[in-house]
Amino acid sequence: MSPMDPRKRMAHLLRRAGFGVAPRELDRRLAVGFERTVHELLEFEGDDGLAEVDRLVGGILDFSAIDDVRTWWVYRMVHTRRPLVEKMAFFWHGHFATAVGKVGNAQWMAQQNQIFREHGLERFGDLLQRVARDPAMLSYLDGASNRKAHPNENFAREVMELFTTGLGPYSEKDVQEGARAFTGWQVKDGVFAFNAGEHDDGVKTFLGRTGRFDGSDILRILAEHPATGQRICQKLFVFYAHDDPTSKALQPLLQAWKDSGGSIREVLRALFLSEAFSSPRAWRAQIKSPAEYVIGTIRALGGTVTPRAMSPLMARMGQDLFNPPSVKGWDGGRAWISTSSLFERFNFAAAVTGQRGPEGTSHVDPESIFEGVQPTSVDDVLERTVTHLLDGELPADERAALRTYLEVPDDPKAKAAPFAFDRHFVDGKLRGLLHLVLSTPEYQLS
Amino acid sequence: MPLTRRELLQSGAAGLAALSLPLPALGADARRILVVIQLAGGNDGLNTLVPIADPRYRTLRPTVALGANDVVPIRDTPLALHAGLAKLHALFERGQLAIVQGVGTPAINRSHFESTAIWQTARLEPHREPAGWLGRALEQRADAIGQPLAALGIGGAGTSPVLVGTRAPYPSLASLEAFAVQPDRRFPQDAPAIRSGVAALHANTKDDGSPAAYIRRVARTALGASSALASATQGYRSTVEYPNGPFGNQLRLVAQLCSAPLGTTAFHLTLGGFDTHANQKGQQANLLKQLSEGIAALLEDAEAHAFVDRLAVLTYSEFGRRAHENASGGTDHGAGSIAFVAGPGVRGGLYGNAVDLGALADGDVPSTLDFRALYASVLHGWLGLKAAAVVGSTPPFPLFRTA
Repeated sequence: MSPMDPRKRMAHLLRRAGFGVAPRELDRRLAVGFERTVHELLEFEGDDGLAEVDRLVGGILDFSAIDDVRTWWVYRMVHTRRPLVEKMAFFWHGHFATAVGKVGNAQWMAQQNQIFREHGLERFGDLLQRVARDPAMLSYLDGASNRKAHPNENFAREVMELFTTGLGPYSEKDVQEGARAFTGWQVKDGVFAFNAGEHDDGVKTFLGRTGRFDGSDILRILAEHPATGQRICQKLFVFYAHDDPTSKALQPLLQAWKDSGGSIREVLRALFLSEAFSSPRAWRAQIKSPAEYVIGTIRALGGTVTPRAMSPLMARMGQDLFNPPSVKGWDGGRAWISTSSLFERFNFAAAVTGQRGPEGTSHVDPESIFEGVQPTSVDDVLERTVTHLLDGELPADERAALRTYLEVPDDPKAKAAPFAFDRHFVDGKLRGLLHLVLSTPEYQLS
Repeated sequence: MPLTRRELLQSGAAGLAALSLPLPALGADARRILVVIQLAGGNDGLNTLVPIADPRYRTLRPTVALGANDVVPIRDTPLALHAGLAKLHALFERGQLAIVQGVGTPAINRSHFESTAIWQTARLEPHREPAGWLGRALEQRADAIGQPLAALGIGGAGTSPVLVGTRAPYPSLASLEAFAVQPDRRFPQDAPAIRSGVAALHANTKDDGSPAAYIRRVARTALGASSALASATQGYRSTVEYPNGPFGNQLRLVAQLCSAPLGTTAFHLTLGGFDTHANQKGQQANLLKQLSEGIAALLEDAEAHAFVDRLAVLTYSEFGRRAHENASGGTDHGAGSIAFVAGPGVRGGLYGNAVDLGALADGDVPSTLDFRALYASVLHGWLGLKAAAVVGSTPPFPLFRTA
């Protein structure tokens, strides 16, 4: 595997470990270097730059309404200085998929999201214990109706099939025994409550072990099961690198899992520093989710858009935040691309590049991608746009199509004039060029 | 020939199965059209088809019950339709409306989210397999696979779950404009260059199996379908009056699309607001009026555009509502409800068991007819598809004319 060009490799890291690259960000990160950037992403401890939006919670952001929770999260994803923390929250939202449509309580969804943010890089076993006691999860998987006389198998089944080992290591009997252990795990006054009167404290046999197990014991057995480490490492690799890892590519992740007792932070460190992560096989191997497409575009264009307007657009593209279609989360990959979702992407591209409001309102400044240096020709405009938004790589026929677009006059009656990077060009053709670049097949890829 | 009223009133789901005749093999008659309308929120069946002659009805619902002036009686029966449904009542009189009673899911789930998902997937555990019943069914047809206009969701955000197949979902059209490249309005002179630019970016047909090649292929399909839609629907003119508001506009769009040779087989639309926990009477009356006048307008427009014989309309709702009213002049989530099937191909009449207010199930109008039998009847009898593969072995009943 040949190593990537450093700019391309850094942009790849920032797309995968965060939500893309803002103007001027790449040079700043390159000065720091790849390994140090990985370290900063994993260990960031300074000001996350989000105090402003957090202050609005309880004021103009009313968390009893899910749209306000969405707005809050979209703002965080765009503006955070800790992009990996939000990206991991996004990963866990898809893994521990919970839908507000069933939970019916926006506040609980916000609380769950905060668990993913605060604990998403810690040991998997600890995160699992927290999620299993989370009111949104208990409500989503019917934990609240899990009584001694009628154990509800929904959570016990999904915790194995979807959250930990995956299908295979367990039997139907393990599901039933697991469900008994979770009896009495309820939500009371909006928080987890253990109802001893509804708990079955008898002896259970679970995955070959026998004891007077409660829910915590079951979760610990599952977190420590080798199939869980294998599955979570595999899933992290697929989410961050590409969907076809060899066992050799997974090896550093599994070693880190083993050495650290399941620390997500250490698995990710091994992943980002691995040869496989920076291989040509991983670059542009994924289709961006709607969140990555929308958030990444706003960041790349260095603009200001109303965060509240963004989540409905993502929903129309197929990703309704806080409302995944099933307990399995979103299918992702090619399922993101359909005839209507492509039009949603194309027309989002048109709408976002056409934001002309004064500074401080919804405003996208197409010049910002030139970072203060005036382009001198059509080719210069094209080259630098492709460098900033597409790692400098685009098939020749698409490059030619973009060049043709720039050369067709936007006013057929006007006289042919030499290239000038003036207001008319910036407001017209340059915005049009960005609309087209954001509509290329390659820009849909991460 | 429609079944006699007595047969219909007496036949439950099992009875209907016994009555079912061998249905004609329609083959892949792609020209038939099914318009599915979701009444979201849980429509109160008891105030839709009303047991107006039963004194217990008013006892259960002192304030929510409809009076003699709020309903249109169904001749020779103790039942009446809500007066807002006057136009559906006229269809019933002409033998073009099937009223399906007591329809619901086998195990009642009172969550909107869960029950809607059960109806939309025709799976009792919908969150494990979220593909929709119509999306799966249409995959039986070779000409509907990869043809984005074979089925369309109208309005709303994102794809309708009903039309999600195991392959690509069928598109959802908020409007014709949303299914087209929309260049910046500020530079109209530049629009052709943008449109041809988008097309040129996806023109390369070389398929190396990469995600980019996949995206190009879907984009070419999308752009082709978009221009087919735009040109085919240009000639549509109509003098039919649809109800004011988004629902009426969506039905007009359905008529516009059906009047063009696009080959669309199935449409899905949603009319929301049926979750009438409080002040039910006015709210439900307004919605049922929109529904009734909307369906009548669509059929009238279909007649004017000569596709009415190919058109059937099906309504569904995730559940009915409790037989007892609540303290807020409304009703809470219940069980069995009413579905309508309308169109000239329909064998009009009453289907399923009439509600017996003396035999409520835990305060509910029970679900006595499995919703999957209704789907099976429509899939088999109208679209000529194999129903068992989609909804399991629930037998269909003869809902459509065979001649």
